[in-house]
Amino acid sequence: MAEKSNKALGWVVIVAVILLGFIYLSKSSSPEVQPVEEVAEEEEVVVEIPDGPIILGAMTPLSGEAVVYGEPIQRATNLAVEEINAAGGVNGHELQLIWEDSKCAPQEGTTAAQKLVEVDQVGIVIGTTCSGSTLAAIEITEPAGVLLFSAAASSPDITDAGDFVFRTYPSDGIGGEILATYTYKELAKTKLAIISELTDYPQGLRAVFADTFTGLGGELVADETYATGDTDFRTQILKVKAAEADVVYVSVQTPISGTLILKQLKENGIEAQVVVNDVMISEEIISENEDLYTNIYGAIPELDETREVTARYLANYEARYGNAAEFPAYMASAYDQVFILAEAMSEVGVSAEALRDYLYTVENWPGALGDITIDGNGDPIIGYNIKLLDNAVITDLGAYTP
Amino acid sequence: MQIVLQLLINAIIAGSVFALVAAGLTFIYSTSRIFHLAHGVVIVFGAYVFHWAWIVQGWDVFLSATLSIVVSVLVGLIMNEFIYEQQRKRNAKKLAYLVSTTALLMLGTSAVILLFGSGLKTFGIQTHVYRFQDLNITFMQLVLIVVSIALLLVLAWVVKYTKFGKAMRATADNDEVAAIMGVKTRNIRRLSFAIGSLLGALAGILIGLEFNLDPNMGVYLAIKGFTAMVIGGVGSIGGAILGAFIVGLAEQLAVWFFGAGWKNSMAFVLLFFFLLLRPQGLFGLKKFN
Repeated sequence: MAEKSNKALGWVVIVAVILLGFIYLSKSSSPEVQPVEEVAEEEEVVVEIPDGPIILGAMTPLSGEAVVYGEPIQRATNLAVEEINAAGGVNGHELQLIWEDSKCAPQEGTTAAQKLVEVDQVGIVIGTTCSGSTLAAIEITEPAGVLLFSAAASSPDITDAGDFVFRTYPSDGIGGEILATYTYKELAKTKLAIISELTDYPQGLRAVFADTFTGLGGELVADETYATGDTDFRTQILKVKAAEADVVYVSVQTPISGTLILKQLKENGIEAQVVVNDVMISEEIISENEDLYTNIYGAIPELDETREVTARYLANYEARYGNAAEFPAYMASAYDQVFILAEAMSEVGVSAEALRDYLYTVENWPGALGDITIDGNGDPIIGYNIKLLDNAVITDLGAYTP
Repeated sequence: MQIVLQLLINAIIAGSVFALVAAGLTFIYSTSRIFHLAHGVVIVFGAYVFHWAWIVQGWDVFLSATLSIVVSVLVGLIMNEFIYEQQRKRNAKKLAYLVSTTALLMLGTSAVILLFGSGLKTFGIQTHVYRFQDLNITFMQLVLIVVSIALLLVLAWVVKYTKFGKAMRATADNDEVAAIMGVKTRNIRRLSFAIGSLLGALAGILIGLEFNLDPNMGVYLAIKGFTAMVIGGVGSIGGAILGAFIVGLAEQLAVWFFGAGWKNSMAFVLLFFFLLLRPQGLFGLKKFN
């Protein structure tokens, strides 16, 4: 009997080993780690750049729902690195990135940051994309004195999350306020319902939008949430309907669940005006779901395609990857960020302290996203445009300031 | 009133899916006494193969569905034949089955990610919406409900009136006695895995069409199916189906009254409630142990 259960136990061990093997394979195959020829020497506080390539850590979601923008952001970042290296690198030093999959979850943000900081010992980390995983990553990078530079995390909480924390994408505090004001004043809606995902980025926006809207005199009649991964929103929608809202603000982490919400809103005969957050404004997804994206408003930092640097970025991206930029604003931010970093490194070297001091002085830096000024909190100051999503196209309705 | 009715409709839609899962789990449990949590993976395989064949390869929808069912049934049978039956030969205890089924669930999820990618898949299908006054239901949701109920009725008939059904019930009651009486219990277990996996494949296809595909959804589905089974009374197919609708309704009510953060915990709340206060479930004769 004991022998038999030992055999059973043996089986369990075998299965467990195979299982671990699979998990290892599936984990190690997902992050795209660029070949590292030689690891940089540990950096000291000097202005000189050590010999060999400059190794930067980089994080973005490379699996899960958020891969819809994680991958385009990775491509835009890689494009900038390729362009800088083709032009001779930073003072002759080649830039190399070590990519980690931070998914869109705080745990994974921590894991990715730990790997980059402790194993790869990088001094600079680019990313990550989602606010929740960025806030978690900051817990690792800030105490280690590692510079974290995010291209897309926009939660207002990141504004004062740390001294070594910078970003090129504006805080949602700005975008949410502009869209809420537009909804109340221009669209003349007064009864607001919100459906938001229970993660940092959509919740940050939810709070800003609701505060601004009620502050102007509007009424919040329904405030519904859902957990990441949920696919059935009918009861939340039923509450929105029962509350007789005349506008629904959909604040989501990714356009995947957002599109499903739009579908279920339509199926349930909701006729209220729909307004959406930044991530829903993607040409690709709107044209794939033409029937769902009808008469929807949103706000996003505007790309001025007449700017030379913006036009060049868009053209280079299309030439390199064969399709137009999927999320032009986020990706322009990711693209600009690498150039800002490269410029900073060529001026002051690669020490995190020197770079930090330099970045606080960035003013009217001419990027693809716009003229970027980094404020005392490490946030950029950038304007927003209101967009109308209808008939598979995005129409610009002009620039607004808070 | 309208709201109550719409809530009920929403609960029935969700419950129909859980019912297919729970019925499959019950079939398998009653003959093998295994809480086949890896059933979640069978469902996910069904859904992904269907998506691959129909959307990616562009094959005929019925051909794709058939392929999906075949693959799911094979996955279920392989798990039974190469893991559970091997353990049974060695007189494995319940705990050993539980460990291996959990391992299979994780292994299978990783296999799905390796084969089909970790990204989310959508079918992007919109069907006609029927409106009765202020109540809404889509054609796809009607199909989902009708298919589930029809299939479950057929199975209930099979269990009750066919020779196989009798042999199955005999095995479920006491497999040693059934074996002595000439029932080939091993084949009965195989058949119940095949039928359970078929139900799982259909659940996967319907979930994919109505919602999205996520490689990790197997865990949630297995837990909800398991809860439905415990509520209904372990081993009772009718009970499992009723349990599924109770879980569906409890989730919708949780969203309505407490907010969506509570939705996924409802299955566990119900599970604890029944395990503590009514361990035999609604229709179960034996205590679940």
